[in-house]
Amino acid sequence: LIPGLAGAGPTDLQGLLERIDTESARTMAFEETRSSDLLEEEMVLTGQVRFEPPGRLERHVESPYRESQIILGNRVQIHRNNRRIGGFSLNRAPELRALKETLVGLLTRDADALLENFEVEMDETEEGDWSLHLVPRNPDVAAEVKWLKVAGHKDRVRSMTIEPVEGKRIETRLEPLE
Amino acid sequence: VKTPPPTAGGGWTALALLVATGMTLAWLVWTTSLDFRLDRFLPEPSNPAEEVIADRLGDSPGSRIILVALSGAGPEVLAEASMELADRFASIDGIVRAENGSGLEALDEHALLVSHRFLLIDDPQRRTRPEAIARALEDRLGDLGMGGRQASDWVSRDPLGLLPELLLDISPASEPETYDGVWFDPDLEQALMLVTTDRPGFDVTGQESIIEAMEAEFGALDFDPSRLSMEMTGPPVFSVESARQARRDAGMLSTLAGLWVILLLALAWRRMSLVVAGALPLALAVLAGLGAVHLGFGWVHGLTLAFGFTLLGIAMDYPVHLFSHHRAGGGRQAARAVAWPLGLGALSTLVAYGAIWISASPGLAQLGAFSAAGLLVAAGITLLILPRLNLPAPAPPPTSIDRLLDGPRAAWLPGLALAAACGAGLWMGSGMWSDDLSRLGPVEPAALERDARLRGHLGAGEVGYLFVVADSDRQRVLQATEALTEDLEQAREQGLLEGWQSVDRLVPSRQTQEERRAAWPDADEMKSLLEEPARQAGFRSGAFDPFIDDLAGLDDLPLLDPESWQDTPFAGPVANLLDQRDGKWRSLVIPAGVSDPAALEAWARENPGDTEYREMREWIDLQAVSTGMVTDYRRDVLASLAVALGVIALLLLLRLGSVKALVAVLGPPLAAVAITAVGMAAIGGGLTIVQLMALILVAGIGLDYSLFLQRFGDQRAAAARTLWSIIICAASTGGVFAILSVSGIAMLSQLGATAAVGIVLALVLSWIGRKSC
Repeated sequence: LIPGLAGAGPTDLQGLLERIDTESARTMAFEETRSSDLLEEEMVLTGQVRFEPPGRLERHVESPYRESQIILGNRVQIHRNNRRIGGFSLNRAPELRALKETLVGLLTRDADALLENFEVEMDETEEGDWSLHLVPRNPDVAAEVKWLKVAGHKDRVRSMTIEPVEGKRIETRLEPLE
Repeated sequence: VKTPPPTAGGGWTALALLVATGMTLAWLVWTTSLDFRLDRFLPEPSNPAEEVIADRLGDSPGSRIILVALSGAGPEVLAEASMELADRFASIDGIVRAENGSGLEALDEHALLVSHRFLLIDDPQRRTRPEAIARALEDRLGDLGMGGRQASDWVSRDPLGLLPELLLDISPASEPETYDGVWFDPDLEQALMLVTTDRPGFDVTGQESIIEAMEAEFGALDFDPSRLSMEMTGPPVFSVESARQARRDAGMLSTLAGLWVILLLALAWRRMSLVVAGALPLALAVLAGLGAVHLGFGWVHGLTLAFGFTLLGIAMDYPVHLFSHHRAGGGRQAARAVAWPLGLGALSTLVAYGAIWISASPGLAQLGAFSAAGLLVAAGITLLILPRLNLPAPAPPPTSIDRLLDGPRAAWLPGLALAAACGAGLWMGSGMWSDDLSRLGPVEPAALERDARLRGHLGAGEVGYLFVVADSDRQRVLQATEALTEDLEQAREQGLLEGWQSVDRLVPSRQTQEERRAAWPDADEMKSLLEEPARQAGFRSGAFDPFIDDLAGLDDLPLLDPESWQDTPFAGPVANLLDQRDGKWRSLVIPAGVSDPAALEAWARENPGDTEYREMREWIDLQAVSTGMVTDYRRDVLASLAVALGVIALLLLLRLGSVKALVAVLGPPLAAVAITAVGMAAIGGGLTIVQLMALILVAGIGLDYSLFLQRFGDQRAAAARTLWSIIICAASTGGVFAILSVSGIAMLSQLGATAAVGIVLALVLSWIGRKSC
């Protein structure tokens, strides 16, 4: 009943992307769990992810602290508590870069871009659950990120998982905001 | 009666002497490293404000900094190139530091900053209040949420965020844009870097080797060099460029000038041996001048060498005067004939140069010494050596000279012209003088603008205003600096400035450091203060143990002194902001982001600070002080020159015997000087000091013309020879200065233009005022 993971070809992937409701996925609430040796429990970050075509991605953390990351092209600007604390290129934040390439690829339904940046494996059940397992091709990104997983149900994107090379897995739940 | 034909022997002797002198000169000039610092032309500073000016123009730490801008690619590429170049630059011999902003990220390089953060950060009480701790811990959650490998290390060592705040504090007052940790301009088009050399500003050769090494490293980069470009500015670059330009100009212009003079004299005299011999006084004069300067000063200013050109003018005139009175039969009778007007002229010029020699500025003193020594030697060679060389007589003057002798004559005209020019000068008042030092600077305005723009991006503010705090006691200076920056905080709240650079951020006074140490809770107290906010923010217990451990060592921490920063990236900034001069400590507080300097100055006047430190604090408007210095100094020079003029007049009166004769001799050169002065001031927006020097030269040359014409003017044949000779003089000397006026070096072109105009006027006025014959 459950087909095994299989390498995704452009047509399969494109077919899946076409089914996703990218319109409602442009603004999503997120809830992300991160863990650190310094913390008693896992830290739960909540906030919003916004995508503005063709390439602007905003990530606003609302709790437990306030921070905005604005990714435009290959650049990211970070404001914390309304104070700009820095700007850098995604080359220096491989985790963020992987996240951006995944989300932008997904939300612009660009199978070619996804396949260019990642080795993609697809999984889909008859109930409509689907997942993409992405292994970064770029060596700089691969040095920090083992793999990412995006999962969803029918036309909705539901979650993202990042498995870093060092440190603990980061789980992000996503929910359209309308 | 047959006179024996002059042998060629004299010419050959002269040629041999000339070649030997020329070679010595070439060697001297080649091996001399020129100094182009403007401060050498200022009087010795007499108060803290003037010292600041002199330092800024001279060898301040700032004068060793090269600003580098990389452009031509996207910011990612530029940032990478900047990182690689910074590494490469740092390994060049003579480069102390190459900073591009990335140093501030590698906190482990700043061990001293980390260990002493408790003593460096202000207001420990405020930072250890519960709400402040809670806010800081929230920020640390953000650091953890951002990830990165070292995040948790730093969070556990610095939960209050003291280090990021300190780094923000000590970075240049207005923060440069950064991208990938590298400094950028606001448009992210230029990656910026500050390179500090250990070569003093006047060591042009040393700076040049560094700049060439930097260019080579840039060329060796693995990036596509056709796209990437590197721009360098800053005092070392300026002085190297000036030196290169001076060398280029000196080479080309002196060749041109030499050709002009040779061609002219060869045509006028039709005797090559005379042309060769005529160059001797000049060559030996320059040699003597340089030798005197080497002996007396040990360094040579670029302007002094440029004045070698002026000697080219006046020393070239002497043999012309001599040769034109050569009759067949040798030079000794000619020497006797010209001895007194030539000697009197030389003596007068010597008096003028002597007055400059004793002036307050080492640069001008050097110029006076150079010219005086050269002049003496030129006159001596002309009167004592040339007549013994058995030289032929020159071709006779052309017959058209007679027409000039019969031309209009108006002995009263020079006096009238002098009076009119003086009137115009008085009417122009202060418009006669320009005290803007930058007009003399060897740097082109466009280059200065570029430099200012880069400095602006880096917040390295080369501002025109600053505070100086000075005292013999270093701790008192630091305390007064702290008092000042505390006051400035209010000015910042009023929006008068955005920030400032001051040494108290890196070296608080010992008193302040002790107070801060006492204000920090001890390790146990801190632990309990952190406990509740940490629990609420979700940190596990013991998360901040490394921080507590650091705090536990606070009591044993040695206090910071300026010396503590030696061999760290902060040694330069500390030295730039705090130094010792003549037993006095001096700290500079440099404001940044000042939109209305007048308002800040008014604020500074109204807020003189604590009575205890009031006397030590001073607001300095660099432009006003430097203008004031030049004004004072020009008054000094003018006063000495007025005395010199009196002495010269007295000398002339003694020799000439009557006031009428004195007026006839002095009128034309003085009128030429006055008209030139008023004219050049009107055209150029006031006379500079260099133009003043040119005018003194015009006076000297013009006086010779006038002396000769008055001496020989009443005998027709002698008058014709004399007029011809001063026409040759004016054409050769005036031509040389006209050539000089096209130089790209502002000082040289001002000198050239002023002297050329003055010389032509001196010729015309001497002719108009001549005796009848």
